[in-house]
This record gives sequence, structure tokens and C-alpha cells, in this order.
Amino acid sequence: MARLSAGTSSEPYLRVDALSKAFGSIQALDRADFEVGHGEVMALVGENGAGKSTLVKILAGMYPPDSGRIRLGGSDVQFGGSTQSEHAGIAVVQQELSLVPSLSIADNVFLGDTRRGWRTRPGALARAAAPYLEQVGLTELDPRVPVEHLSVAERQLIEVARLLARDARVVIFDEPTAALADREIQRVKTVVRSLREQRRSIIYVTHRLDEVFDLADRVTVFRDGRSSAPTATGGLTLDQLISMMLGGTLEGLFPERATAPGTTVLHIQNLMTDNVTEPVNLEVRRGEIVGLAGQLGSGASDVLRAVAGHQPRVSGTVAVSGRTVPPTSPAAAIRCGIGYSSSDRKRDGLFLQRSVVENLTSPSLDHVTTAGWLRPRAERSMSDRIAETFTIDRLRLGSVAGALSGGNQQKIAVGKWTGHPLEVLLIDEPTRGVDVGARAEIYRHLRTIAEQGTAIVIATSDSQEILGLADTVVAYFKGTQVSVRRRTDTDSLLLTREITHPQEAA
Amino acid sequence: MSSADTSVAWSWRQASVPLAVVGAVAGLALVGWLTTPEFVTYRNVQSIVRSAALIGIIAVTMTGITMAGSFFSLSVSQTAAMAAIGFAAFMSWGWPVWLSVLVTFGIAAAVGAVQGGAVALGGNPIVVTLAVGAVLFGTGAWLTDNKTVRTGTDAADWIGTSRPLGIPTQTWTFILITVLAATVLARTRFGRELTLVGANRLAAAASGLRPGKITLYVFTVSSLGAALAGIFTAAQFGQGRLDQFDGADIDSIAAILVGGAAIQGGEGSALRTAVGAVFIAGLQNLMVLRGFSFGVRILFVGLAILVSVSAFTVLRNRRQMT
Repeated sequence: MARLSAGTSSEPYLRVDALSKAFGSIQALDRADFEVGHGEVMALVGENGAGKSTLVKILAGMYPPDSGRIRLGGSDVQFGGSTQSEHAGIAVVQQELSLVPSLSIADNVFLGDTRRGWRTRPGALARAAAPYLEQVGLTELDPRVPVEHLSVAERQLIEVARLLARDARVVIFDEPTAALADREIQRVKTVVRSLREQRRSIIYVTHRLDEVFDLADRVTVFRDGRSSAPTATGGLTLDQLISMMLGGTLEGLFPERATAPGTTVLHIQNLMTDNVTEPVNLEVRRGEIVGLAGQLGSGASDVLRAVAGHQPRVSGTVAVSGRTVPPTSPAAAIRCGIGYSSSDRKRDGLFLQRSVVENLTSPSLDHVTTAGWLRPRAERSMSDRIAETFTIDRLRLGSVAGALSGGNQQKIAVGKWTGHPLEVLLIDEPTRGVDVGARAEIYRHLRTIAEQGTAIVIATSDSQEILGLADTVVAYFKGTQVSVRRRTDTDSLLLTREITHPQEAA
Repeated sequence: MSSADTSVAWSWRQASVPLAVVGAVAGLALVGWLTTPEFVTYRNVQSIVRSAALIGIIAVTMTGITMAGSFFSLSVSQTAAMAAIGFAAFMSWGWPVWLSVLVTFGIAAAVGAVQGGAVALGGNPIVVTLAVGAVLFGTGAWLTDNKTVRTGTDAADWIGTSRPLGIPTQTWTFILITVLAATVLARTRFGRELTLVGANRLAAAASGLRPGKITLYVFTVSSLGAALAGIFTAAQFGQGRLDQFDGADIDSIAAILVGGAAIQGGEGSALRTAVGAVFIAGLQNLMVLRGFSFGVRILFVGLAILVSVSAFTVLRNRRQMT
């Protein structure tokens, strides 16, 4: 495909020099450089936690950098807040959409536009919005329709129209296609290309490597807060890009592997959900850690949720040690010996304002009560035992869970399932929002639980995690189980291909 | 509620909420004593305790709703009034006391279960209880034609007027219910489940607990508590009237909030609600003694809610940060 050259002037339109930002002890950005020219699409890729989001948020004026320089159109800029960044012409198409569902399309296009009075007649507003909607290919929609009637892709395009209405010169797409179906992705891509033709600068953050080659002129890879030099996509191969992303390995982060897995505990047969469109078959043995790898929306999380009774099944059966697990509720799955820790512990994993002890015993209340009466000593010894296994500070058992660090909270969210005998432990994103030290501990604890005879299944979008921890690696792509391989039969290249690009990997 | 058996390090911060509740009562007593000599006489304290009992019974039984994350019931004053009317009517028909009590409780339980069921299915608790309150009030107005219903007998008087060991039955019941509720909330599986459902409904369901069932129970218990207050009043005065419990809902909600329960659920204590009820009853009594009008009294109860909610929010946020 034809690519426009990356700007003619000597200096790129937006340029970031040696930007650093730390959150507590975590260095999110470490002297990172970045640039994007006029009429250029610059892809920004990297593993989770590599610093992409931090850069986007600094450019959007949401965080101040600790040090470093941002140059825009040849002069230094500093953003005291998101309004200033907006006025400078930088706009972000958010992952979490920021439209108001009950307002009309036209209202949303001009939402927060301070140059416009707030008493505008609907007809005039609709006419004013029309050219922007046309630019994003939404000519068929009536601008007076409320946004809540639109699809996710259409909403995303309306966000873009809104940014155009403000004449944004730098448009940042933050994983725009993560939640979209194929046909809708094409619409977004078309819009990105037309923005490039208008000589705007586009930063395209993505996990999908096919999009990098399809859309971007150049790509910058972030790893552990550092940046690679911008590389033209023309001369780059997929394998080269993947090795740039993975870089060196983290020695000592992962425990030794299983010695000998036992009998099969978890049988999944022909499982399908709304998002998992091809039947999934999977068997998990005692002592084994199975890793489901896949991007957001790949279906890996959906399999866990469906097994745990958190999401309806369209078809299929699940059995634990030969006993069929009813698809009705989490409680039914728990009775069959299944524990499930979701990827969002604050939402449905923890009772933040209650004590650590109450959190740890919450799924095992049957085991600490006699005839309806709680036994404080049994509660105490159960939580002591979990705290010891998961290295949670025993002096903190009485504090409220919300007062603990992210790593400790995650240990509680996972550890609480080990209070009673457990057959299967399912964990979605076992180390999200957890620092490296606590990650290593959690991996070690999971291995310990597995060795005690539990079958463990994790789902994660972090391929390092899968390769470091899992005995069996299962790849998912867009609602399909692509492959089941022993760890020894796969590597990071093959896995990354399978979860981003399965056709080529075959 | 910071249950003592699970907290390792006792600290002033952990105890800040109970201390603030007790402090409020002490402060009120001090102000009353300094400004209004008759406030601290034996007779007046007795009178405070008696009126605290009815509000207290309603408030303590409603605490479960708040702790389980369903805010409040706005139908308790109508439930209590309807129970008083029903009980008076049943007595006037010559039914024995036990049957009148039983049927009144039966109806109240059903009314509570309907509200609990509607909330468990996703109804907004404020809207549901407001609507049921309106239905109860309308039904009462239609059935009684807004007239007082008399028992026409003294067979039930002992329920409302006797004083075992010199203490009114209402007060005994208030104490008993408070102890019972405090025990259930702190020491039983049901109480723990209720608290966890209030702390995080989604996490409770994910842990295999039963939020729907808990919601059904707490609304039923609250309705029974309101009915009990209604029966006491009908028995004491020999009559039931539609406006007999005007203001009981705001007073009981105030008692719960002054007692430091978290409005969004997951935290609270029956004992502190009981102290809150004594505070509200004392405040009402003091204002009556000072000759404040009904409107001004409502103003001060409203202020008490505002101050306590703000103060407890600040205290809790400080505690979370340690």
C-alpha cells in the first residue's frame, strides 16, 4: 500500500524527549523518547505495563511528567491539565468512551466545546455537526438520534468526529479496536487513513500487531518504561517486532515447573458463550497450571467466567472430577470445588471496607460456622493459614482490605479460595496492577497450590506470564481456541503470533 | 462495626466511630442539663427511654437493611400505623390477643417480604418502600375512613402498659431486640453474610453468598419490627390511627445514621443504632421541653443527620488511609 512520507520538515510535529514518570516505587516511564510527524501514523506497542498508557495520559495532560520535554510544532509545551492539552490540539480517543449516551449525536460532537454557547437550536447544531460526521464516514446517521442507540464502533467514530470539531492536530487512538468486530475495525481504519491524508499526526496504540503493519508508517516499542527508536514498518518483519516487544527475559520471576501432573480434574466440553464462537474443549489435570493466552476480547476470560458460573453458557458442559457443574450461579460452581478470581478485584473480588480476615473466609463460611454460629477461632486459624501460604502480613489481618497495597489485595483475592478444599482455581489476570516483587510471590504461591493437588487455569494477555508460569499453553484469538500446546512445544514467537495473527502462524 | 475478635491492633482510630456516637449522647445530656433543669429529672429520663424504645425497635430492626446495602425503608411509619389499626380492629372483633398479634405479624411479614423481593429483583429500595408506604397509607385511609379504630377491650392493655421490675415492656423489648440483633450481626453466619452483601454485593455473589435471600430477610425483619411498635402503641392507648407514627421514619433513619452505620452498607451496629435512638429521643424531648414547634424539631433532626453523616464519612476516610 502507498504510504505518505513522514513529514518534510526537519523536526517532527510532536516530539517527546527523555520523559520520566514514577508512581511510588514503580518507574512507569524511564527517559522515554517519542515522536510523530505531520500526516504520519505512529504505532505505539508494548506489553501491559510497558508505559504506553502513561505516555498517553501525560500527552493528554492528565499526569504531569517528573522530567523530560514535550515539543509541539517546534516549541516547548507544558500541560497543567487536560483542557490545556486539548487547546494545544492533542486529543485522545478513549478506550472507555466519554460520550453522554442520552444526548444526541450532534450534542456529543460539540460536547464541552467552550467556543459554542450552550443555547444552540437542535437543527443548527445538527447541520454544524454534519461535515464532521461525514469525515468519519457516518453520513447515514441522523445527528439528532441519541448516542445510546449506536454501536460501540459508531460511538468511537463519533468521538473522533468530536476531536475533529475541535480541530485536533494530534489524534491518539488508545486501543480503538479492542472491543470491535472485524467489519467495524475496517471503519476505524478507514478513518485513520483519511486523518493521515489531512496531514494530521496520529498515534495509534494497539496490541494487535496486524494493525501495525496495516496502518502505521513507523512503530515505537515500549518496554519497562523505555522506548525503542522509531522504526519504519516497511522494512520490519513480524518476528523482529515481536522480539523488540519481548526483549530480555525476567530471570527468577517464575518458579520451577510441575514435576508430574496427576489425574484430570476439570473437563470442558464444547463450551460456547456469546463471545466464544467456536466450541472449546479442554482438560486440566491436578498439579497443572494451564495458561489461556489472548488479547482483550479473545475469549480467554469468557471461558473462565462461563466455567465459574459468572457468565451464561450458550452450549457445552463442564465437569469437575466427573461431577457436572451446573451453569446457574457462582455458588453452584463453588460447591463443585471451583474458585474464581476475576480480573477486577475491586469490582467483585474484595470487600474493601471489611477486614482481611472477613475477606479471606468469605467463600468458606460453611467451614467456620457451626449451626449458624461463627467460630472466631476457626476463622482466625483459617486466615492465619492462608496468610502464611500467601505471605500476607499477619499483623494486617485485622485492617480493612482497602488499606493494603495492590499486591497484597491481589493475594487476598486469590488466597481466599484456598480456605477450603479446592479442586480447580481459575484466575483472570493473576497479576494486574501488581508490582514485580509481589508478582514473583504470587507465581510461587500458585505453584505451591498446584503442587498440593489443585488444577489451576489462568487467563492473561501477558505472554511472558503464560510462558513463565504455565505447563500447558492455550491460545485464543477472536473467540476461537487456536491451539493447545505443552510449554515445551511453544515459544514467545509462536505464541505471540497465535494470539495476534493466527493465520500466519499456521 | 469493627468486630473485636478480628481486629489485632486496637487503636483510637478504629474506635473513633463508637466513641463519636457515645460522645454525641453525652454532649446532648450536658447541653440539656445546663439549659433545661427538668431535662435530667428521673421522670423525664423515664419518658425519654420510653419514647426511645419505639423508635429504637423500628431503627434497630431497620439497621439490617442499611447494613445490607439497601439504604432504608421509607414504609416503616405506615407499616407501624397499619399494624396498630389492624391489631385494634382484630381485638375489637373479639379475637384473642395471641391471634391478633399473630395475624398482624403475618401480614407485616408478607408486606416486608414483598418489598424485599422487589428490591432483590433489582428494584430501587427507596422507590419500592416509598411506593409500598403510599399503598399502605391509601389502603388504611380507605378502610378506616381516616377514623380512629378502637380495640374496645382492655384485654391487650398489659402489652402496652405493664412494667415488669418497674420498667415498661417497650423498654424491655427494645433492650432484648438490641441484644439479639447485635448478637446475630456480629456472631452468626447470617450477620456476616448480611454485612458482606452490603460491603460489596457483586463480591458477595462471587463468593457464593446469597444477596437476594439476605435482602428478602432484612426487609421482612424491618417490617416485623415496625409492626411490633404498632402493636405496642395500639395496646397502650387502646386504639390505632393512621397518623400515629408520623415522623417515625425520619427519626429511625436519624437513629441509624447518628449510630454511624455506613449509608452505602457494609458497616454498622445494632448497639450503636440503639444509642442513636436514645439520642434522637432525647433531642426530641429536649426540644419539646424548650417549646420548639414541630417544624423546628424536624429542622434539628435533619441537622443531626447532616452533621453525623459528614462526621462519620470523614472519620472513616481517615481510618482507611492508615
